[in-house]
Amino acid sequence: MEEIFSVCDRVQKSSGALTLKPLHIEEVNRVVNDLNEDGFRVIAVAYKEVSSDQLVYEPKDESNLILSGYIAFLDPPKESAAPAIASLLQYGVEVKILTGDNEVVSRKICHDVGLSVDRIMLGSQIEAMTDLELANKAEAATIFAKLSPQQKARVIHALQSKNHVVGFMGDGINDGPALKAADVGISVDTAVDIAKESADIILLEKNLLVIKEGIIEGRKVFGNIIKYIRMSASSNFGNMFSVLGASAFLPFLPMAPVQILFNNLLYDFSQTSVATDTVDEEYLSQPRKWEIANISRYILTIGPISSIFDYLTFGLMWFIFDCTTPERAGLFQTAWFVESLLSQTLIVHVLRTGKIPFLQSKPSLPLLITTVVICIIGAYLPYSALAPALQMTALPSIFWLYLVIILVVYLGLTQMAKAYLIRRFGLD
Amino acid sequence: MNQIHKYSNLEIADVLQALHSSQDGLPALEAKKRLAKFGLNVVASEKQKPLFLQFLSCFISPLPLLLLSLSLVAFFTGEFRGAEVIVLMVFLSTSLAFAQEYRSSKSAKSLRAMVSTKASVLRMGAPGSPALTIEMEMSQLVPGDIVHLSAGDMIPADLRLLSAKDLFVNQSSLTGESMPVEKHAGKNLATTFSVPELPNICFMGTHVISGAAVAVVIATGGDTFFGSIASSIVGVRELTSFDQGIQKFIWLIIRIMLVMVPAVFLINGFVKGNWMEALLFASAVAVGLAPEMLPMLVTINLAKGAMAMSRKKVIVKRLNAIQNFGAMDILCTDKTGTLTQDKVILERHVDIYGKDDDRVLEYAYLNSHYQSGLKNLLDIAVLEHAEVHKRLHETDSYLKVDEIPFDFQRRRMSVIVEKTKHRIC
Repeated sequence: MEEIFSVCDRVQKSSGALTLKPLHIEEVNRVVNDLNEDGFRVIAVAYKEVSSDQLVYEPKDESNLILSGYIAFLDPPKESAAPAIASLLQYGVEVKILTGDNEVVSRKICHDVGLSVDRIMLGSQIEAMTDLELANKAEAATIFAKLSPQQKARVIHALQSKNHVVGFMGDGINDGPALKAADVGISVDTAVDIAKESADIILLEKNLLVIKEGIIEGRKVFGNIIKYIRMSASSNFGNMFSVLGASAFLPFLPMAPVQILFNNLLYDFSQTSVATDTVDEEYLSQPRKWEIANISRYILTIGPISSIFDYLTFGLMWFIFDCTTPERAGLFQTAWFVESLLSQTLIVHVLRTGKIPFLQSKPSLPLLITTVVICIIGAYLPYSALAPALQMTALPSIFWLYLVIILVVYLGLTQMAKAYLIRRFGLD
Repeated sequence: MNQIHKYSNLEIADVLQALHSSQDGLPALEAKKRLAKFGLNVVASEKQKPLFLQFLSCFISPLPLLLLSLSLVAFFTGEFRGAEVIVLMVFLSTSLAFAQEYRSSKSAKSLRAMVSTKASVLRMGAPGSPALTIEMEMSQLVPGDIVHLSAGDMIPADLRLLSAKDLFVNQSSLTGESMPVEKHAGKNLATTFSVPELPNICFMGTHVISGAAVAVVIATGGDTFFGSIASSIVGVRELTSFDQGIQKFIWLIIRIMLVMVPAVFLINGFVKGNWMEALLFASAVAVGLAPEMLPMLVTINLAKGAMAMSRKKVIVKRLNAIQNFGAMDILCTDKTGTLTQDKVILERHVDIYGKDDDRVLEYAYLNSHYQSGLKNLLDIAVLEHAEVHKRLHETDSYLKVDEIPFDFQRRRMSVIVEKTKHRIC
């Protein structure tokens, strides 16, 4: 800028060229400052007319020019950035900018893509703060400018200390420490090696929309893992609770070892299809973290409920079907095998969603098919050729009526308990 | 880092003296000695463990360990089949996780681009004979070496410039700043610069956009600015949110076991009076509480997620990161290339009052079009912008007369064109 002003003595106005006056210099500074504040890099353009007979020119000919105006350059925002940031926010993900670049450029770009520019923190300010101060202030800030590589990592640690799960996307050498510090380090396949080495996830396209897709996929996966954990831990706990009582009062084992093994095998098989299950929109709309307290409530509520119905089955077999001696153990064990397998398998449909199963939320087809098939196998086994090997005996037909009642009440009660847990403690 | 500032603030002669070097470079023998002292000019990178150890380390996480120890309990209490099932589950799920991660880390590696690894170095020959410029592996550089830089070169180490002509360096890999930075050889008087801003220092890992320079190596390998960053990120990763969650869940199960198992033992012992049998039964309950399918299910879920994500242009290097992806509530990102297009465009062309003015663009276009030097990012931006506005294609009617090229004293550039004899800067 100054380099060109120094060789200008006139300015271009629409009416013609005027002599450069102090008044103009003020004007010039104002316009250039405005442009700079908008994040532009500015270059001045000047000209003069020369006589046509001179053929060779030297630097000294750069004098008495007419200042014509400026051209301003920018690294423009991506068109996809603003909608992507808005939709990330909808999904409960706040975007913060960590950059080594200066705050003027950053402010302008962030403003253009719809990020709040009220709170900007600079590397030099961060340097002067303790970790605690930084943690308290970092949550509110959206833009962190002029950061060194180590400061980027510090900002991420500060946010993590406030119980945030923090992702970081970057592709430079300077992003390495931050990628390593973040819970999810995201890089791009065009990034430098060191960034890719530190990253957990590599995008084939540097685009925030791609990240949104990944986030939704990640929540689906986590949703299904949590479903499995809740269901299997609850049913394990319930089963052990049932076995505890039965072992103390029964003169025989409540289920034969080979039956336990077979029961587990069938149940585990039905659980593998949980990975294919659909996840409710409500669940996907917010970041999902481990809520160990909620899992523990599930286990301690749903588990004993299933035990109630195990004990009901025990009572049924003991009092109505008269299984009080080791000779009648086969019938008792077969009945519990069927009740246990069917209740565990069917309860998947209640626990897989926060809503009313089938009416409000449908399971994936593979999950539906697997659970139905497992139930049919379970019900058929006592009548099959495998029955003697599994120490099973055929069940009287009236048992099935009792079983249907037990299962329906069990599913209903569990649905109510689940609805209560969600109302009281929230969805996890 | 103070070292870098120190060299930046010294006169060239003092820099060379401090490094015991000279304008003619180091004698070959001295270079050899220094190579032995400072080591190869390479930056620490993640060392690959042998495959076998990588596989074993997959077992050293809480869940497999808990399950394996329960399988031991089952084994010693005669529950051979239970023990077998647990071991099988752990083995299957761990193998699956290992295979998945191995495959994706291999694909990440194959994505790596190769970079030029040669540097042009000045070394003294035998006494009396002139110094020679030789092309050698970057890894052989030592502090004190004199190197030549030209457009397109990777900067091979941290360098203090001795002389530079129109040198522009892209430091975006260090700073995120996409505009090339100008560097010159003069002594730096200011002390307020942050390290990458130092005007007479070039950094390993950045590259030359245009111009040429001669510089002396002030630091190599791990001692460079780049190396100091690189070494801080090599090493064991901290536990992420998912890992912590799994650990907490396992502790929950262990707590439940700690309550249930003694209760079962006591109740059974008192009711039946057979304490040995009660002990066996209690250990069976412990095994029964164990989520033996959990690692398998987690892995199946994660692997399925990784596959679904790869269809959406997302490659998952570490499976556990998938859950963290879903749990993330703050996304920090750099600016360049994420929010911006990572290129320079001409956005405004205004008169001295800040109003749009096509004449300004026309002059700028003539200058960028007719200057015969290297077209930098800004020139290209001017040309591209002007080409969109087709009406400016009247340049055919101009004829170039002469130009006054850019230099760092004037920091201006002019072309003289003939039509009505405009001349523009």
